[in-house]
This record gives sequence, structure tokens and C-alpha cells, in this order.
Amino acid sequence: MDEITRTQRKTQAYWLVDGIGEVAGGTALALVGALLVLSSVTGTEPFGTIALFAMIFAFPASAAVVRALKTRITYPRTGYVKYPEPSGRRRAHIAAVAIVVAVVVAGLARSGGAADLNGPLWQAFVGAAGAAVAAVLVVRAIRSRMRRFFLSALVVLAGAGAAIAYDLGMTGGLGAVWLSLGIASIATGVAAFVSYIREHPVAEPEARS
Amino acid sequence: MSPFDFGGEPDRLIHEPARLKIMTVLSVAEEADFTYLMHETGLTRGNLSVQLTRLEEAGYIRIAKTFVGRVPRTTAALTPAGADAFAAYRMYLKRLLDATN
Repeated sequence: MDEITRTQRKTQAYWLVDGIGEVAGGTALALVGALLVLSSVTGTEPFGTIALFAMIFAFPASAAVVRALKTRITYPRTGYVKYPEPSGRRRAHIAAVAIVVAVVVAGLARSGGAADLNGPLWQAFVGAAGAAVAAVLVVRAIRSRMRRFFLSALVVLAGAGAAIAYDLGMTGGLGAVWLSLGIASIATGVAAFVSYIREHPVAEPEARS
Repeated sequence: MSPFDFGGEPDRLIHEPARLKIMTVLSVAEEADFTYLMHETGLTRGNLSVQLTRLEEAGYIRIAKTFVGRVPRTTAALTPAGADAFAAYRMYLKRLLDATN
């Protein structure tokens, strides 16, 4: 890899260097995932409803926490970088993937035997979801040169495998994938944060001019 | 065409290592502040100021001074001319590498 590409990748990965995003996002994921698993295991609907509300509020809340913590902790130490908004083309790709997933889920729901959310079709869907999340983490690990995301990928695969082995069904299975991703993200994020703080004392502030 | 003709001369303003690093960082960021650029380039505060000024005078970057609360923040961002110049510099390097492989 040439030095220009290396520097570009390093700048793009700077958002991940302090682990703050992982800890905050991981906490939201673990919360929602745990509620979904509880909903499946106990068969109690309120957990599912609470999970829905958690989804609506936890992720925006975690984003706000990340912004506040980076302003207080990261930017004074190693500086501030603002990233460009995703291009229209990239947004279209993301939307296309979401539509494909929705069509697949709708197709599974209409297919024979899919009324049973514990059936083999849904188990396969949970496995595929776990594999897809793990693949994204592996790509992130390679592009950012941060090996901790390989570990997160393994934990997610283990979570998906455990969900299938324990017959958690679709709701519990997807909850297990989110929970394992959340726990892995919290653990790797905390480790990254501790390492970051040790390596980077607060920089001398700019002089007022 | 001479074997040493790589389609023009490299932009010497960008070619200098510290300024190249500044331009490279800004090519993937909407903006970056003084502290981050100091970390990436390893330059002293004064030296970085000089390099940023040269790039600003050439129209390749724009510099903004703001406050975050009571803390001053100086940020730099590529201008469209700077983005074009950086792209042209990368093309020059690519032609150079292709010619020598």
C-alpha cells in the first residue's frame, strides 16, 4: 500500500481510534439485544415492546453521547476531523441493500412454515445475519488495520451459533446477534479507550489570537 | 516522447512531504483541525502554520478559525482547486510508477 493510501485510510479510521463510538453504540446494541433475547426466552411480550422503544431512543442517545465525549476527551488530545456526508450513490447502495433484506424477510414470512418463528428458515436467517455482520467487521478490521474487529467478528459468529444451537427463534436469534455484537463492542471499545488515553495526553491548547 | 516525460512536472507545492501529508489528510476529510494535522505531520506548531499558509495562499486550502465553547479551533479544508491539484498530482505519480514498472 502506498503512503498516500495509508494516510488516507488512517484518517478515515481516526473515528475508531478512541473506542468511544464502540462503547456507546455497543451499549445500545447490547440493551436492545438483551431485551429481544428476554422476549424470546420468557415469551413475554412487554420485553419486545420495550426493545422497540429502546431501538428508537438508544441509538440517537448513544450518538449524542459519542459527540459529547469526543469533544471533551478526543479532540483536545489528538484533534478534530469532520468527515464528508455519504454521497448520493452510497446512500442508494445502502437503501438497495435494505430493500433486498426486506424483500427476503417478507418472502420468508409468506413462505410455507414460516409462521413458526422457530422454524429452520428463520434459523438460517439468523445465521446469515450473524455471518453478514461478521463479514462487515472483518472488512472494517482490514481497512482500518485495527485487529480488535476480528475478535468482534468471532464473538458475533459465536452469538449467532449459540442462538441457533439453543433454538432461540428469529426474535431471540437476532437479539443474540445484537447482544454479542454489543458486548464485543463494549469490551474492545473499552480496551481501545484505555490504550488511547495512555498514549495521548491532552495537547497544548491553541493560543487565542 | 522522451522516456523521462511523465506528462508534465509534479506540483512542487504539493510534492513537499509535509504539505503532501496535509493534502492527503484533507482529501478524505471535510475538514481537520490544527491539532490533528500537527499529530499527523509531526511538525511543530510554527512549521505547520507556515505550510498551511503556503497552501492557503496557493488557493489549495481554506482555513477557518472558530470557537468551540471558549476553546479556539483552527480548521483546514481542501478547496475545489486543491482537490483538483491533488488529483492531478496522484495521476502524475501513477504515470511515473507505470513508466518505471
